[in-house]
Amino acid sequence: MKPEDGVFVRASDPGQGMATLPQVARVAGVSTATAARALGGYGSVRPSTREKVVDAAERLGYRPNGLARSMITGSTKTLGVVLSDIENPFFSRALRGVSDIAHAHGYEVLLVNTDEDLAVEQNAVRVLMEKRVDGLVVSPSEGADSTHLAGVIASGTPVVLLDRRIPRLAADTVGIDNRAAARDVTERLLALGHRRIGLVTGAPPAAAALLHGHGLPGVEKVIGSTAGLRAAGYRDALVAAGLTPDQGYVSAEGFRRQDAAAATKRLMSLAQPPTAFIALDSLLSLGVLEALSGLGVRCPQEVSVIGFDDADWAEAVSPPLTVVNQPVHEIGAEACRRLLARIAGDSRRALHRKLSTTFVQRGSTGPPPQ
Amino acid sequence: MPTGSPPRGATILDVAAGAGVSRATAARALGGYGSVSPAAREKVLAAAGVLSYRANGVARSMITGRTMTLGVIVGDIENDFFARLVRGFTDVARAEGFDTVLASTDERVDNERSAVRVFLERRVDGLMVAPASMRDRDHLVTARDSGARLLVVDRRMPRLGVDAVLLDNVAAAQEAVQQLVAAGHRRIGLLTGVGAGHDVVAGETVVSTSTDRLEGYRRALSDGGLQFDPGYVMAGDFHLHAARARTVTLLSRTDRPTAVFATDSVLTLGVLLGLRDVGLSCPEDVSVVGFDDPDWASVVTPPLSVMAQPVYELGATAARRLIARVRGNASRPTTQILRASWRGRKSVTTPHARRDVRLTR
Repeated sequence: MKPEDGVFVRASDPGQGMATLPQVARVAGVSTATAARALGGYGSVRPSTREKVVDAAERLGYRPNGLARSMITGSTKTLGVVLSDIENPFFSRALRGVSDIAHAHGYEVLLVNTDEDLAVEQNAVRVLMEKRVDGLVVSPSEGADSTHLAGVIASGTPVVLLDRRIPRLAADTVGIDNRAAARDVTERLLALGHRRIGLVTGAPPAAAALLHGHGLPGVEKVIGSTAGLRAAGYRDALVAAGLTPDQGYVSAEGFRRQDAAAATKRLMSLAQPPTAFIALDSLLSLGVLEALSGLGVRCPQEVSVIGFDDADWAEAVSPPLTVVNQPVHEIGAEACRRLLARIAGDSRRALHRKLSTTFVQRGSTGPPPQ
Repeated sequence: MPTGSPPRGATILDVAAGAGVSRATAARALGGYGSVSPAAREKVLAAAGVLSYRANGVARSMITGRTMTLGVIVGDIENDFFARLVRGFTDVARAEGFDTVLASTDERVDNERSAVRVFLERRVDGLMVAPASMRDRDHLVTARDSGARLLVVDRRMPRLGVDAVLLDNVAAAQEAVQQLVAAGHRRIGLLTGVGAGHDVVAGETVVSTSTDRLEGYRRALSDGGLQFDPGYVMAGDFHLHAARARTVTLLSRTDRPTAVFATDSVLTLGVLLGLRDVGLSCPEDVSVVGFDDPDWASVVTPPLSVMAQPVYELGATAARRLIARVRGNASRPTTQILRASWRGRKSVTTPHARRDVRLTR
């Protein structure tokens, strides 16, 4: 930068990056290994050499190097968090829970969004392991192959699953009792008199084929995660009420808001459209509400809606949305506590923590039209 | 994995031993640099496969001086705005081979200071910060002077002399308030963030976006020949319930405003809930204009008219700029200014002769 431009005198130029250990070593006239020992305060270094190295480090504006420390301690004090989409309020709040605990314990958080794409997830896990994270919190893709996670666990790095459980994977899980929560809201709609209830799962279209068994038998196993368990709870409630679940009312058309809107429009165009919808997260709920409003369908007079997750806006829509509230921040925080316990050497069998949900009755549910 | 294997996985020494070559040869074969005979490379890769060896990114970073990691420090990752900003940033970073470490400061300068220190010690290749206060810059100056690649996003930091990716906040707020003035409103309330009050006290944090949006509000009033009344400016923190309470206070005035402009999406939601608390309707009793266009803005009743920031693009632009710096671009620091756009929906109407509404609170 020319002096007349400006303005700023720097110890080193921007864009050059911070001084590195080899640079410090060069200026001090010692080997990199010696400089590392001198700055790390370990191993034997002559006092005069140490002084030279410290001088050089100061002159170059060298900062203590967390990487060097990691090489010695074998811990990077970093956790990887792999989730679907930070823009979904469930995940941003859970991430907040994870980071609050992580930071309180001196850990940093590396974030990866997967958009429910297995290939992205596998690649992210590989990169995070190369970066030697001390542990992973993962919200695995729906119905995913989990061999990459099994590999991580086998190599000695703990994994905690957020929200979703993968059968036979030796990882702690933290979430809610998905099956019971879905059964509960379905029973509430049945009690109001609803018989045709649309379930917008957010699962990928690939999972739709798995949902096609008449009466949804074994749905909890075929999807093997949140959507499957909640579909099972939905089925359980219908069966207990003497109804035959109709898979035609169960949508697996993608996790985005616009996917949910499209699914709602499609279901509402059936000869016998649903009189109620259950949406499995707050973005899906927005999609359902948007579609109903676009179709001119009044809620709850014509169609009732219950959403999972109590987003900030749930109270501000008209009518205010009836929801199942998950303790999302606490799910993230507890996942992080479990992970830190595993990193600290807790070697018990995998634990599955189910936190309790609360039903928040607002204005979007009522009896079906006569 | 055989039992008795080291808990942190095989090391390069294990691989070298398994392949019957030197450590240096194994390192060259796995790193894909230097010369290695094809036969030796094959032996090394086979041994690495058998031992489930993973490349050690930490060791590689020590050698290359790059961690392929970028740091992001924002106010609160739960806020719609920051969540989308971070999404834009991480999408670009990921496509370019970088990971992102993330910290939320809760808008506290001490948290920001410590996050900057920790991230630089961890040798992030570049750092994006949305500064919690324009007044507290020492830690950023220190970071800049130590050669860190630093970028500020969303919020200005005057005279810091680093790259910045910002919104044209004064113009955006001015245009938003002009919409209300044009609809005939004469008493317009402002719900905004910290440091925008007319009586900012020493030591208080000052968020530049709040300051700049206040300036835009004042200009729009002045353009419309309206008097600025500090009593209509409700500044405070960015939490939903606090914004809701400020709205109730504002609307409980006898000369309550006929329109409210809120300078962030959480504040806007607070306004909608506050309206409900006092039993007023939008837009019949009070018109509302929001800032940012969160997912719910078009679904609330009435659908909300907003000044939409290109939030994702702010994050993506910042990531591109920072990565260019990491890759050696050493040109003068630049400030990139993005523009907001008006999305008129149903929450603004002309002020009615005041209905005789009895406030419920």
